[in-house]
Amino acid sequence: MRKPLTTLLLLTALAAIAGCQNAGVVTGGAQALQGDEDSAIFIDRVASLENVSENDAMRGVLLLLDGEDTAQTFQQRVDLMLQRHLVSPNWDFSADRPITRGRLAYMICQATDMPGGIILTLTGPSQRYCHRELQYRGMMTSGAIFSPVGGLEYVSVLTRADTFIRTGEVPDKAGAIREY
Amino acid sequence: MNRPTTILMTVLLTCACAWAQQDAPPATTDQPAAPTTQPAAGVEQLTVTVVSVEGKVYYRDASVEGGERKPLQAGDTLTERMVVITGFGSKAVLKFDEFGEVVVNSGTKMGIGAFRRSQGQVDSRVGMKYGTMKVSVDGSREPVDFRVQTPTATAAAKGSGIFCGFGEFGFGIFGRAGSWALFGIGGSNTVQPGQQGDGNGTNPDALANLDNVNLGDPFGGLTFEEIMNLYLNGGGQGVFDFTGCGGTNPFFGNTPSGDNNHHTGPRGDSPSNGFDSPGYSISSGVKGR
Repeated sequence: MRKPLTTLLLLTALAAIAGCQNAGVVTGGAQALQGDEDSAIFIDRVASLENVSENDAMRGVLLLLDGEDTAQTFQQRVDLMLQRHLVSPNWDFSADRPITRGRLAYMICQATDMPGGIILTLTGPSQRYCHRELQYRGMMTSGAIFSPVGGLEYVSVLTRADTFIRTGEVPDKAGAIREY
Repeated sequence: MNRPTTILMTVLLTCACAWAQQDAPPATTDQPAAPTTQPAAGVEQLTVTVVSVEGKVYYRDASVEGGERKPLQAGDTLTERMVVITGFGSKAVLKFDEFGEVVVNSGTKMGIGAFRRSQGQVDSRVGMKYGTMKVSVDGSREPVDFRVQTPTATAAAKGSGIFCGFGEFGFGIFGRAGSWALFGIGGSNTVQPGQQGDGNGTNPDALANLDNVNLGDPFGGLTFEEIMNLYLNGGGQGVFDFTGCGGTNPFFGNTPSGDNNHHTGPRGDSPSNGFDSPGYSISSGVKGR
């Protein structure tokens, strides 16, 4: 009786430790991006990338919200995003690693303060349900949350988020909104 | 003069001529090389005027190698081979002389491939790498061939309006005015005002047949606002809708209930339309033109 209980406790502790061992770890924190890059130049550069790095992805979200990116390094950028709850504190971060669809969806949901469905409202933001919410609203195409995000897709999603922030409407793929 | 001497002198003379020809400077050395984009005789270049600019908008002359981006301002004039990029919350309104207007929305890169008058027709080619635009074409003064080209499709108009966009969803078009014919390997169909189409040849999924909702007006005299109202709300909220429209979200995900009156040809039967786009093509079919 005692042995199974001990084993269960050990396994639970191990799972908890293993699951959280990378939370908050930042790799490539000193990496900097090109300075004095406003949103138009940033979009033009990123649109041609095969995959968008986490460093670039975070700069894009900051440009979307503030019109400028004051962070000098990736570490500063992560700190800014954490302060504003735009990324999860349970994540690990790597400057060069391609951003995934789930993480992008999480950031966009938080940046746009998008109202979600029942699960998203009750449980709070998560990659899975933010991703589903954005797909439902026509802001993202269907796909797996662990897939990397290409430049064109990233730019399109951020541009729709920009329209949503300004108008409260998600434009269709022709760029039309209900206000026409 | 005997014969060998004559032959010798002829050979020497030929060599001298060849030598002189080789050393002579080319006749066009002091002439500037003609630019490859110089229009042929009878072609008149037209200019695009920037009506208004909001936010971060730049332009670049693509005909100059390594040309720098410069901020775009209202009143600037743009010519062929110029590229415009916009940032978040930005917009630029470009007036194509008196033949059209393009609203370049935020997060868009577009370029003016051609804007000229030749053989009594105004030709305009606008390329869009990504983003969205609202295009209005006025063909009432002269014949206008206005085309928006994206990596996968081309939209062409002779006097009407569209919203169009290109992104990871592909090419999207939403008819504002005129009747638009779509041609692709998926078949052919027509997009009316209030309907949408895409580069995949998908059938318009909103007002399946606008003739059904003209409310007895044979000329289709509905305003765009009336059309949009029918487009957004015409299907009603219940099970038994009455116009064959989609639901309340017209843009994504809704399956039209009245799509049985689409007219789709068999795959691969699209006519050749002469467009140079590798993808699908859309051309206007404005009635009476």
